[in-house]
Amino acid sequence: MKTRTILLAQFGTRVGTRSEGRAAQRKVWSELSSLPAEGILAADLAGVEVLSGSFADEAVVEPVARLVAGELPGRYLIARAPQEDLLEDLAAKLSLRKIALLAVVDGKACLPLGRLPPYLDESLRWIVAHGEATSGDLAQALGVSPRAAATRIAQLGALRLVHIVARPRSVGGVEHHARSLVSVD
Amino acid sequence: MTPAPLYAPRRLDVTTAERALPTWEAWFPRPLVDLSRLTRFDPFGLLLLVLLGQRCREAGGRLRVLLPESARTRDRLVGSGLFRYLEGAYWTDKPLPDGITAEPGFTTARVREEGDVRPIVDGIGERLEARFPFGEKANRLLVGAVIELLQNIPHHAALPGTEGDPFGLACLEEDRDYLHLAIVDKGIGLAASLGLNPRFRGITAGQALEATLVGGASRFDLPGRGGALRRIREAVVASAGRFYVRSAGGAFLQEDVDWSVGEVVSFPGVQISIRLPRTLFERGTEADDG
Repeated sequence: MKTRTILLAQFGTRVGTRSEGRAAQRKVWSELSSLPAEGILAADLAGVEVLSGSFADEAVVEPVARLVAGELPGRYLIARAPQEDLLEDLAAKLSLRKIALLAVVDGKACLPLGRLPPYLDESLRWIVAHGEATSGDLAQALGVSPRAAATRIAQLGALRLVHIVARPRSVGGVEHHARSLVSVD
Repeated sequence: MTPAPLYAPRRLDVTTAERALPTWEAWFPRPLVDLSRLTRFDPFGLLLLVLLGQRCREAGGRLRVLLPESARTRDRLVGSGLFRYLEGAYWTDKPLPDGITAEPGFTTARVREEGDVRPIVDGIGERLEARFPFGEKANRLLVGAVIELLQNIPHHAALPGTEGDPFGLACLEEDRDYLHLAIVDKGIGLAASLGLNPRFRGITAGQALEATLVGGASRFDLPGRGGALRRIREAVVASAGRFYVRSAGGAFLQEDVDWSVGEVVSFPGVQISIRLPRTLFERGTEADDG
């Protein structure tokens, strides 16, 4: 999957007000709209010293909400940050809207921000750690039924936290693979 | 009604400003502000005085100020910008000293519209970075609070469609033991702003403070709106700071893990005081020293 980066520092090192966030949102959405199918846009906070909740809500959370509502199918948004505490107000705004976003911190740790039920959180972390999973893999790893694992994958897909690929089975029918949006050490 | 007796504080801060306000309000719009015994003042007391002076000016009156006996305090008061903001609408018992440069401990700025926020935020951010290069997280907390609180002034302090000037001001003081941020306006206040949302119509000042600061309420029912003041309060608590907000006749105080809401003398707008321990900003230095 191709990942394109948008540097939020282009809008300032200390961002920002809600109006500034709206201006950034237009740019973020334009980048998302121009992604190819299965494309990922990384909102990168390198060079940003302060990210206010108001700016984050407009520039990042609103586009995530629109993706989750079904716009731009097959496109994804993630966040990258040099430090975790830079993401605190963004996480609070995601929680307020009851949605989540994957964030990569310092190129190493990957964490879901916002509100994600524990059963989806553990599933997402497993998929990220292993790069890809079928419902069978997840069922075996987490000790849940294959049907429950398939439901979890479908829910993560609807939340745009994993990319779902349908592959034909050798025995007939299709099998859904959840593919991680990020690869971390 | 008998006017409250004259009160001449030695310190003008969050606590003593509340004691002085009944006297000042009783003589509105020509209050006698006795600062003759003053030796110290903080951003909250200073900005409250500016707002009072502005209100007097708009009502056709003026502040009558007994200047501090202490020459140093007098110079600091002049250097803080108090009289500049009053734009001539004051009387003093002595001539103001000439040639006073800006008080270095205070950074004061006025917010008229959202576009004013960015330069103020950058100015404060750059100053904090220069003063506390290792206090990255604390700098971030304070600057983030400045962004949210300053943009609230053009967004919330005036009734939509009206042209009243809420006279928003911000002041940051670097004290020996703490950093003190005050952000004030003389706009419609939290209860009136929140009351624009039908869910909160008729809410009292105390209820509005609790709904906003504890419940995260917003005047907008849009997803993603609200919660900024609550987040700032929580961050201040986590940093062992002190958080005080007054709006109209209500006041909210958060100290340690306890918060309380009480009644105070009514004064228009919202006035906020955030005090954070200086050690938060110097932690990196301490670690290096240790």
